[in-house]
Amino acid sequence: MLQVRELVKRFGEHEAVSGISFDIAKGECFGLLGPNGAGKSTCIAMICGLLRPTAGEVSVGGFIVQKEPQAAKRLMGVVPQEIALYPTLSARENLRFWGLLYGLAGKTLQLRIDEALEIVGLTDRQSDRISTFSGGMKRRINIAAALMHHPELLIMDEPTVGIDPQSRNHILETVQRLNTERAMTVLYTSHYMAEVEFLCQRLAIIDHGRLLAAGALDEIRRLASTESAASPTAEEPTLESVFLHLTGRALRD
Amino acid sequence: MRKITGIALNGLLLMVRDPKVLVLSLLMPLLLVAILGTALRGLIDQGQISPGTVLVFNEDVASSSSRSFGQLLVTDVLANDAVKTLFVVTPVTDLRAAQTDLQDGKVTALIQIPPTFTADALAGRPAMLQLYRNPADLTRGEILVQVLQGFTNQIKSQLLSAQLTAETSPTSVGLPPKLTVVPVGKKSVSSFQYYAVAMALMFIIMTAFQRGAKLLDERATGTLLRALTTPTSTGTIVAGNLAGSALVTITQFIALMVGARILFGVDWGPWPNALLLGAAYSLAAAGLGTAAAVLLKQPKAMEIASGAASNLLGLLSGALFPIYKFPGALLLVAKLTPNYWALQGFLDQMAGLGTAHLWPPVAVLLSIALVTGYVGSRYVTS
Repeated sequence: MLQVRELVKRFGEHEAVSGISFDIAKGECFGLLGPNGAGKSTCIAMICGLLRPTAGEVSVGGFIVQKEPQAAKRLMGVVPQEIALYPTLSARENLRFWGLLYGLAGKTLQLRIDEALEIVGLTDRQSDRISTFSGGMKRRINIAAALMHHPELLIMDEPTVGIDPQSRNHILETVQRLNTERAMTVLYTSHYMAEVEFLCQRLAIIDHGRLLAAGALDEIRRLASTESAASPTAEEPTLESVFLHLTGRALRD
Repeated sequence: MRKITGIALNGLLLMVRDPKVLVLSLLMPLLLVAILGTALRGLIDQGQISPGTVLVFNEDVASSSSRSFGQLLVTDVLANDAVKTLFVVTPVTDLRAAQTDLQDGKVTALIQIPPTFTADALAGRPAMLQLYRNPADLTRGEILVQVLQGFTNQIKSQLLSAQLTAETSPTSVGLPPKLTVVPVGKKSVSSFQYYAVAMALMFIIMTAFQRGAKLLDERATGTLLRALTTPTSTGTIVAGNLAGSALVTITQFIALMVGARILFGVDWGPWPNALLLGAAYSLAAAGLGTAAAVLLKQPKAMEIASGAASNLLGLLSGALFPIYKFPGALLLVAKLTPNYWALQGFLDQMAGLGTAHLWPPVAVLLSIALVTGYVGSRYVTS
């Protein structure tokens, strides 16, 4: 579904992304992990067609994003890290607007709004303004807006930042349902290792713009346990311990 | 096209949903029209008005040893101390150049005294004194009308008195001299008309700049980037945003037009002409607001700029002070602003100058809209 090939992005002298490659198969849920400043957002921006790569190529559903952006974008639904909604408009009005930008109109648009509201469990609040919503509810509408056109690839950039455990749980279950029941391919980035462990079959860890590790969850865990095998007291590594092992414990900005 | 309309309508909906914007963009201008329209009359009553230039084209020269009525008007009436506090009288010999100055709004009025004025008055033939008024200079224009009417009445009473004293034949007195007031156009413009236009233009610019700030806001909140992740081309998003700004400002203009008509009886001239001029100005303002966003980049800076721009452009266009008081260089700068062209265009339409006077300001405003729209469109792609 998604092929990322030797992706490079330079901003002047600074190389934010240095030759990253990975594939995501159709129906797969893939996690992209990395500390702040690792290059995740730059990667996502290039995949979404917001940034032109210095080198390399991104292909979505067979369409090269740099060459056929509109065709590739039709297959993608993007959930940005920010609450990219209009606070003075109602949930329904927001979804109508985003549906329209995805090319929906008329009765189909109305049906898709109903469906998206139902998926995120906010049908009863559809007429309320976004400004009156809790953080968790805003996040759910933020996701609903990306589902309007039934995307084949859902790109979620830290979609659970700053919300309560109940809302996070609801979002995770929704993403899992979309992935398993609708075979929606998901690219999921998060700081929360537990979320990636819960949702993703495979993942990649990047730092300083470079790919440090990629593979199935167990393979990544084994990578750390292999490296620490010399220690007789070593416990079964968690994804978090692997992450810290690969990216280091130094504080990031 | 559907997406452009959708983005534009979304902009309008966002404006309607913000009560602060509604108050600022619709109620404030109407309130200011009421205050300034009334205050202008107060100024006249208190005599707190600075001198305006009056050009006199006098062809009524002395026939023999006695002075003509034309000379009397220039040397006695208009040189009176009370009148001198209000007018700087400048004799001219080139009527065409004087008319151009009046058309450009550089002077308050032009008085034309025909060569046979004295002779006609004395012979009892119709004697016509022509006063061409600048419709934008309302207060001084009205005062000048009173001064000249006083002068013609004085001639009338003196001729009558001469007739009674000398018991001359009735044919030597005849008709009194007549003052013909000719506004530049067919009608004079009232203070409420003037300030309805001036305030509408000022607040439309303010709204356009606030729309520019909204665009920056959209970039900061991520809605602009989100729009770019949808299968919607950059050109469509740019066009939608520009159309949204124009739709908001055109709606504001129509609301102010109707509001001023209902509340103050403001006649905007022929409606199609006023709407076309309003639409052209709204487009220019929308382009300017978007272009300003490109240059300033920060929403806070844009918010401050919206107030500053509306005041500065209002000032330069003559919305706050009469433009003919400006020095030449400043007048040249004023001509670079959309407000100047829109204000002059509206005043011409209100004065009944007709469609011929509509096209130059519309062409200038649409050119400003094109240039600033192009500059503004670069923002989204940068």
